[in-house]
Amino acid sequence: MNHVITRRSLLRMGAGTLGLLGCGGRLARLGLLNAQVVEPTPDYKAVVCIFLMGGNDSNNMVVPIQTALQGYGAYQAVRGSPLGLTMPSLAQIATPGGDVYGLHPSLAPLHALYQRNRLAVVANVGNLIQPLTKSQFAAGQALAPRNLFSHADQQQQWQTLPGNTTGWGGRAADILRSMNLSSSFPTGISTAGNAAFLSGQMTTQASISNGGLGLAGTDGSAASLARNNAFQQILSFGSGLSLVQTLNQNTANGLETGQILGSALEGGGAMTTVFPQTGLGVQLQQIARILKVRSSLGMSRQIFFVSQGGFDTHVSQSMQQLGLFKELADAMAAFDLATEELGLDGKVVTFTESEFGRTFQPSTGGGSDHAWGSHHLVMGGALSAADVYGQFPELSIGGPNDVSMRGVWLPTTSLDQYAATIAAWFGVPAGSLTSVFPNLPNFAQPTLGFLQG
Amino acid sequence: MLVALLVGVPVLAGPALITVAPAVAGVRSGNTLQFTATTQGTNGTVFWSVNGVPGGDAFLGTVSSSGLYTAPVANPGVSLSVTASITNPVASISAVVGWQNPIPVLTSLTPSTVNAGTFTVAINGTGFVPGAQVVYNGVWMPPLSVTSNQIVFQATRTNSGSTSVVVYNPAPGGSPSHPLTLKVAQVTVKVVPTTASVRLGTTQTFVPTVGNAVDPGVVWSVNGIPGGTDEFGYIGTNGIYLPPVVVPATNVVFVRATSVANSLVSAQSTVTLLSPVAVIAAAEPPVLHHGAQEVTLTGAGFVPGSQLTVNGVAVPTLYVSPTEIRGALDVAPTPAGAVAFRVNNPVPGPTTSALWVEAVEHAAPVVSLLAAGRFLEQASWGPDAQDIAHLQSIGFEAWIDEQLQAPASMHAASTDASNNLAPQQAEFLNQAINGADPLRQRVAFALGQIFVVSGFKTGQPRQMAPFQNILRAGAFGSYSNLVRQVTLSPTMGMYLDMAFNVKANPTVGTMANENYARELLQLFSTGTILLNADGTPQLDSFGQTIPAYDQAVLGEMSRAFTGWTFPGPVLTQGYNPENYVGVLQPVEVNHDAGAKLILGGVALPAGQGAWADLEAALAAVVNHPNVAPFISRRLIQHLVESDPTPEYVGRVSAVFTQTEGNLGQVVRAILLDPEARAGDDPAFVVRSEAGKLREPIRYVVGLLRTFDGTILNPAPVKSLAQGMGQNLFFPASVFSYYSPLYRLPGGQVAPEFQLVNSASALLRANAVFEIITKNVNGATTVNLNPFLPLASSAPALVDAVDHALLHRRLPPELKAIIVTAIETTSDPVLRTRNAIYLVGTSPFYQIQH
Repeated sequence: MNHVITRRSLLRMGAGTLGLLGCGGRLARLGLLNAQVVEPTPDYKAVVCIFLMGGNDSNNMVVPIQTALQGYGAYQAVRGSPLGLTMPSLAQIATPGGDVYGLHPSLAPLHALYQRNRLAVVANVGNLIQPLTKSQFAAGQALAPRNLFSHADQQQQWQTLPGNTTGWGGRAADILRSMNLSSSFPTGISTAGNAAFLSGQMTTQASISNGGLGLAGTDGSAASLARNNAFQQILSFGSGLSLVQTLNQNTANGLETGQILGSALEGGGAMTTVFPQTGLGVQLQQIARILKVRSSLGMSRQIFFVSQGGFDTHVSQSMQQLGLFKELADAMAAFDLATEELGLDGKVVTFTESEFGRTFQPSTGGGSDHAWGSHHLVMGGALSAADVYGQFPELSIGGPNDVSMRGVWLPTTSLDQYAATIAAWFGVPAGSLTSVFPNLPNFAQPTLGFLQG
Repeated sequence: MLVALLVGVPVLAGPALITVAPAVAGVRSGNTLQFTATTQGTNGTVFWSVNGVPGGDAFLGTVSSSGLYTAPVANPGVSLSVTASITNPVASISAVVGWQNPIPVLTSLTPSTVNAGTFTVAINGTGFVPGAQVVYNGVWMPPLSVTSNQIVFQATRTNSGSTSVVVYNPAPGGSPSHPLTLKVAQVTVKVVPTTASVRLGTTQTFVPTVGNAVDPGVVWSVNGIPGGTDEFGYIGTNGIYLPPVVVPATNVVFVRATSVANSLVSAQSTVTLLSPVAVIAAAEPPVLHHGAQEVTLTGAGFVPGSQLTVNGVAVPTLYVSPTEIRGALDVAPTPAGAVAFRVNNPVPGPTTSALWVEAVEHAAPVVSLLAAGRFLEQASWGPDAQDIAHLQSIGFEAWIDEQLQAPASMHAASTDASNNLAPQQAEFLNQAINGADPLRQRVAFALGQIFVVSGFKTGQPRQMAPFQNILRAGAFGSYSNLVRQVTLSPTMGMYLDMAFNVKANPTVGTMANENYARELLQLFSTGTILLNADGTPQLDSFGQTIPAYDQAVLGEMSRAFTGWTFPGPVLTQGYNPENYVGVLQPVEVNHDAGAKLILGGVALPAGQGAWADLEAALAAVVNHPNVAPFISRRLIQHLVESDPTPEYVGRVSAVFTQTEGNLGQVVRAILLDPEARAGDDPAFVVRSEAGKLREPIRYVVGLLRTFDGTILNPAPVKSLAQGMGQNLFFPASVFSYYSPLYRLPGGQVAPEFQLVNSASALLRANAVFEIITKNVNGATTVNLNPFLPLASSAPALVDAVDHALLHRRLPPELKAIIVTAIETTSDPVLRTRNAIYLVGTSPFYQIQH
């Protein structure tokens, strides 16, 4: 069954609780073990997409220090003084294959997770339609996604994949929706407004905010009851305008979601995990609270979308990244801790997306410009192992991975493969992956094996 | 003794042969008496006779063979003897019988109770004989008539109490009857109610209660006049009082009921007459126009001193007759589209008539209410009543002409380098509420969502104020001039890095910054793909869109824009410090002097300098055929509808091209286009893709403007829109607050809907509540006064709110729902707030259409 504790997961758990709880951890650890055995979560899984808006410069997120391909010198040679991170500042991580990389100093909390097999890097992921060589791309001989360097287009395509109007999260939810049929709560929840990622053919998504869950002015009086009743009646009133219908639908969803979530959260109780009260921290805290009441909501599969903005670092990137990565790492680490507190270790996978990477070659003004492939982070107890998956690009201007002369990496892992690995773990059957990822058959290896369970 | 000798004893001495007993007896009329005969020594039959008539007869009375004598009913008038005889020996004996009148027997009195005074009573009973006498309470009273079973007499008594009635028959045998009791009682009269206030025009029923009267009837009078008069009112025999038409000089009258049984007994009610409640039955003219005018009201209940009020305010009123008054009005445009008439009547008992709803319309509209309302939603921050009236007076073209000429609302110049845009946000909001140049402001706001800077990077007043002023000043000017000013703006230079864009440095390994060149092309001018003149994408032979430029062109454009720095001293090297007064200026040594091949295949020769490269690059951009459809479509989306047809874009785009990008003329074409105006005809069925969502700032400002609102504290107002996803001057990215590419799940383009989700949809509804009910926690005011006077009629109130927000397009089904909902309270304020809330949150308002 799903809750059989393998030796590996026991070790992982032991290491985690010892590290976190210190000498007081012994009893707590027993409690955690008991929870795992006595109250298994019946086949529950959740995925959380953290979208880094603006195009994350992952060249400074994961830096080669000593790998089979290259060393720190290749990095330093191009990034140099405008953008380069010093070697001592990097938080070193080693791969099972013996390569050594460094994480941005602000990612130190994630370094600790890597050490505990709870974080992995997938290198040079990008939006592709089919495998592509540098020369094919230069000659325009094969299909490549449209508007590769446009924020709006690539934000859309990373959530939907080229050629689709629905999101890949929503399409995965469509396939798995039978698992949530007992619940009228939406499968997809966004804390960042409408997310194309979550829109499916049959799956609805809901947004949640830090504000109230219901209509203001609901005071129990006859007049307010009648007012709210009329408000709802009006929502069911159609007109010839599709915008009216869409607004009605959103409002009706909001009322229903608010009602369900409100009553579930009332019985949710407090959490011990402390979240940073940053933009991203608050979003992940909201999601943790929903995870806590998953049973009252009747959910077996949930998909979440959160976002962090500010990654469009055309100038003054070094200073900006210090803050951006700190907010990211602190929030992710807190969320990982919360999944353990909630008995969901191994049941929640958190991963990053971003519309594109940035030019490896710096721009004047201490920034970088829009590029293509970039490295991404996957977090959770379901990781196969801490590693740098995929193929790290050769950090040379005009080199084999650079499609411009500025260090624009041609992706070596397609977004389809990256996403399909997550979707397969989430429960999309192998035979259904192509309906979620129509371009997946173009790639020899559909999934990458960085997740298990 | 003599009698004994004569009667009942033998006539011969010696032992008698026959005796009879009793020898002497009296017998009353009709009664019987047993005689017994006794004989000596013989056993012969005894024969009985009366006055010698064997067995007697009816006149004398009869005697049976056994000696039972029955007296005649009537007095025989002769002496009677009953004789017993025997025949062997012959002997007889007589007894003397004295006939007597019967003793009267009283059974009842009619009536058994009489009213004090002189009264006539019938005594019912038996045994009355002529000559019978009545003794009433010990006094002999001669009867009026006597029959055998009834005696009628009359008596007088003033005191109440129980009295006795006895009847005596005369001799022979006269004797009294047993007594009966005759009650003597006083008549009472009561009238309910004892006091009453009666409005003229109504009636009052008085109920008399007459006690003890043989005749319960009353006679009604008003102020002593039986039946009443014109002056004091009339009362009918049924007790229903009808007040006079005019309140008499003394407004108290007395309604009196006098007993028919005893005219000395009466009761009265004190009636206070009050002014009538006026009833308005018709108004002429039936619809008011703006300005001074006279209205004639007909109806009922008007009195001298009747006062017409309009929305609770008294207006000069002329009393004509009880059925007509006239009022002199001066009517201002009202968002409610109607005013409340009521007529107040004066003392005594002042009254207010029922509500009369009087429509208010423009006297001579050039365009209809609906057309004016729709137009101003597209062209302003949302109409108030005065705006609509003004537009109805002058029409679209003249209104646009006015707006093109109106002095621009500008942001005050600022040197403030702190990261606090609150003053500029406040300026913006106050100008939106109060400014006389709403079209310019709207166009500038739209341009600001095309030429985007964001407070996230340029959040200082000294940065934001001059940039917004470029948009305000250039809103009706030429597109090319605007692009040039935006490009040279230090604020844009900071936001998209033009001010830091130094030529490539092979030593350090840096390349020109692409940020400005990319967004200039993608967002400010051409877009990413080649367009037809109607804004639709050009397609290649494979049906694919065609890039408008490639990465190589972008790199070349980036090089063309190198070498600029902030305004300040002319430099030969280095950079000027941040300075937002003036325009960017070149530092030639930082400019890439090499030849470039830029957009549209334009070749820039080497060495022509930063200015020449910039002018040539901007010319290449402005001359690109994409610009007209691209910018036209964006402006249509911001002003009129999210998903315009290609035909609409094409028509506007043609104007853009013909006028060489004159934005004022482009805006005119947008607003006057048949597609924009189609919905002005209420019968026109708009296509399903029509309309656009009110973005949060417009939603908030529009509601405030419609309800004559003010902003006392701008920060919470800004926060309200921010909560719905639009933080003024802080768009999330260069794609502004919402992406122009955003589509609904079904594929329809609907940029503003990027801000709408299940959470923000509720926040939008809650924002209406905040504005209408909470005044945004004291930060705003709204004026509900035009609506409150109508609130007693839920349908009239909903009509008024419909007028204000939807220009009379609320579907009747929704009106019914809202009427039902607001009728759960009678509080006019709560009714009004809930009506506005329900219409204001309805998608029919949220979607501008």
